[in-house]
Amino acid sequence: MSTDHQYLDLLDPEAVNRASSLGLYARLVVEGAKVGEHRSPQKGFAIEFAQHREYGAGDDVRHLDWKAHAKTDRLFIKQYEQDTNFVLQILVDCTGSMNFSSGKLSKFDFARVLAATLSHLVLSQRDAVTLGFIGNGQPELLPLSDTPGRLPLILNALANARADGALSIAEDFKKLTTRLARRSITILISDLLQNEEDLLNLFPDVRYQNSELLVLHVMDDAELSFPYKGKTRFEGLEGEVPLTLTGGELAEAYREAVKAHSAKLQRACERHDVHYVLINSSNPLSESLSEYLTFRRRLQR
Amino acid sequence: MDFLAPTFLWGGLAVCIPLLLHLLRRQQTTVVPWAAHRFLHAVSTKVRRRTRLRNFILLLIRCLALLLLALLFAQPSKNHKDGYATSGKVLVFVDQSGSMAYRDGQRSRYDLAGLAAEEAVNQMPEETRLALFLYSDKASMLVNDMPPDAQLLARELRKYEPIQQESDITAALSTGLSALKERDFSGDLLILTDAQASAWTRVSEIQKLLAEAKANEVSVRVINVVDADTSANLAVTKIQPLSDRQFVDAVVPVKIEVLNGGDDNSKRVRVQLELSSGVSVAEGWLDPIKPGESAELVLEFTPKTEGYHVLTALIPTDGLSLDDSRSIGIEVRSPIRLGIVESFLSGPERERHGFFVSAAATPYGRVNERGTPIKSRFLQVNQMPSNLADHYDVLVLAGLSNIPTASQPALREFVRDGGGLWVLPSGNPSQALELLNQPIFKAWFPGIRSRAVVQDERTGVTEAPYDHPIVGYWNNETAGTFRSLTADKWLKVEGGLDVDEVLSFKNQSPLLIANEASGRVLFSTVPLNNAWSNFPRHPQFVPLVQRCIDWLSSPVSKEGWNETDLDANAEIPHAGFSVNMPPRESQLKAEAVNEILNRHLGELGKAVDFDVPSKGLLSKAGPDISSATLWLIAGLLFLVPFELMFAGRRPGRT
Repeated sequence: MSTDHQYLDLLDPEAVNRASSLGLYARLVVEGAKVGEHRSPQKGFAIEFAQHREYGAGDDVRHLDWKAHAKTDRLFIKQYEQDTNFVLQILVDCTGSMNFSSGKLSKFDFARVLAATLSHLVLSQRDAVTLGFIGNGQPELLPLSDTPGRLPLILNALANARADGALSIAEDFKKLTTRLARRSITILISDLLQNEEDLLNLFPDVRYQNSELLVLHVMDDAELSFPYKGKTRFEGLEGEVPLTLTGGELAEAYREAVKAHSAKLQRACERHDVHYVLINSSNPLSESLSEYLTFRRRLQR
Repeated sequence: MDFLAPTFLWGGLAVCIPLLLHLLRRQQTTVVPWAAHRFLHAVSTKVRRRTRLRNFILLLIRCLALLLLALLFAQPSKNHKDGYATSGKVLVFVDQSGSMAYRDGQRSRYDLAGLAAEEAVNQMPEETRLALFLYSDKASMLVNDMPPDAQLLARELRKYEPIQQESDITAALSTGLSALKERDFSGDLLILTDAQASAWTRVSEIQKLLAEAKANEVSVRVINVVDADTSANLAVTKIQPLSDRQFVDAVVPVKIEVLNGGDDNSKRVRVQLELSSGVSVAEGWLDPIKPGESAELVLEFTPKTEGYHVLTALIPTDGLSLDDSRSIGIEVRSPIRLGIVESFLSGPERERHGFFVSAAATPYGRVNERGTPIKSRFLQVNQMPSNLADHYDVLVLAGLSNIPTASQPALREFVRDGGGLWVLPSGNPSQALELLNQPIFKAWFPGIRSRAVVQDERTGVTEAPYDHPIVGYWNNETAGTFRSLTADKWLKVEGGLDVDEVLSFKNQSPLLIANEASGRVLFSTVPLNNAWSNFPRHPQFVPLVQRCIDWLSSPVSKEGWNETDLDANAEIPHAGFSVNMPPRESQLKAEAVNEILNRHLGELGKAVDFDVPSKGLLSKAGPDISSATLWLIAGLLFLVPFELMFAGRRPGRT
């Protein structure tokens, strides 16, 4: 993956097009500073009617529904849905394991493209986006960007990022939770190969802030299917002790273990009302992304 | 264990292939940078241990399968004694006794023995040299030195077939050991037989021979070619005319014995009697016979022509046809021509000296089981023809006082030619003594005159036992006695005569004396009429006269044809110049030779390699698969599901 001035390569054109058409709707009702495409929990007095509320002293009489008063002889205030914009916070795992690749793209490359695409999508919706890297012990969030003109800053940060961390992503994630905006959407892109218990324990905190959390579990195709048959020496990307094994012997048990791990994560996420999506990095990003966005849109309805 | 194609045993080295593959593949390791170590750590320990065990079992199964395949292609066969390979000489003895002709289906036991021999020979190393023998009660060599060529062996054996002789294992053992002795006992004995227990009855001799074999390290292998546990066989074991001699137109009773030599009860048995021409002359039925038992019946027939005939008793053909008939040769004779010579033939017949003899011979036909047909006629002494032998078998000189000189040569020649002469004295004492002075008479009874006087004294006849064949019949009390026979007058002849006393008075003086030194001559010391004794009125008179005539008419044994040629009633060659089957050979009832070997022969018997029954050897009688091959195939089939199971469950297989 090139860096510096070729950061625009991070945008997958097909993914951007397909995602744009679908949009990234906040699954939860987010609270934004601007009026955007997303519904706000604050009932306003705009275009879309939401509900009636009984009139109370101090209410603005302009919002009285006189027709309802005529029918029921009681005073009601009309309330409307108020559109707002939201903040998307993208956290990318930059531990060494993300460097694994069995094809052209490593998991980290895939994660960067994914983050770039999502950023572009969000900014183009006039929502705000911020980006952070975890797993290197220095979790930082870029300044919040809410105009498309700020996209190059994000892409530049992605292009310059390296997956060379070997520290706990849970620790870094914990450090960032206090800085995460309330009522925002947080997307965690990681291969989740570290001890998942610590990470899962943080989910309630995020949800407590009324922030939506989305876990994009990125795995390489080789990690999922384990295609190795013969004698193979597996050398760890994060300094683990090398293992020499006969691939064919382990494949079935390995696949079972991966499946169990994924299932466990999914169950834990569901428990905390967190979206969990397993993404095969060998599949086209556009497919994986549009599939999820379609799913989100269906939930919106 | 021997192998028909031992070259394929090299294929056993193929077990190295999986090992080599394993070792070669060990060296090829691919290096992969890997992220998901946590999953590998979790599963590798458990899976590797299980997989290693599974792979080891799989390796064993495959190596074993390759070994079994190599063994299968090498065609294992039952061990034929290691001695074959080392000694190089094998003496093959095939039982040729009568029982080997038994057929239980298409093949006879002899054929099965041939097949077993072929198979045994096929399993011998190429350098083996064979000697082929046939044996029954004696052994004979067919081929002395031949390669282990089954076809050659089969061709030799096909030239022969079972013969009607008894089987005797000692014949094979002794001949084999004698033959090996010349080669310093470097060789083995292979005996193919139907293992009739009757062949193993000479236990002490067998023990001696087996001891010799053991001492000289000669292995003795006996292959029993009999598969069937039961057999059915009826045999004619005896055919015997109940009369000593047979005459034309006289009934001949024939005793026939049938043996059930099989294991099952027989049904009713039809027995036929055939004469030379193959024409059935009599038949009868026997009730069912139990296994191992015999039954007899008597059939009668009447021969119509004289001469030698083959008399054959037949039963329906069964598995063993050799003993379904039995033959004897019989001589059928014309009735005895009796001439009664008198001085004169004038006057009534009843007053003639020879009347009583003539009357006694008259009851023509069967008087008792020795009944003899006799045709008698009177003739005058001076009118006797010169060629008496052409007209008469027996002459009785009745009451002659002298024999004309002219007639004496004819009489001498008659006796010399085999005719029988019976001299009866005259009732006149002086004439009786005068007869004894005749030179011709002195030649037959030398010195009798000087010791003979006419004794005027009542006396009786001595009681049994009697030595002479004429009166031997009365040694049996049921046949009657001479107790009441008395004489008031007789020619007293003192002892010392060179003749046989047939019957004697109680005072030792003979009543009947016989001389067969130069032809059969009989002399009675009393005339056979009422003059001197009560003989003609005695109950034994008629049979005694008949037996005398019978004896006189029978050929002289000392120089007759019947010693060099066929004896009358001797069992004569059956068709194909074989003899009748020995009765023991018909006994096919399954006997335990094993028991003889183990119980009676002790350790020596146990040393004998006895195959019972030789189903494995008789491959051409059934599928050509030895039991070892079947076991190997079963082993391979047994391994297949395990191979599939372990190989299929192996991780990495889809």
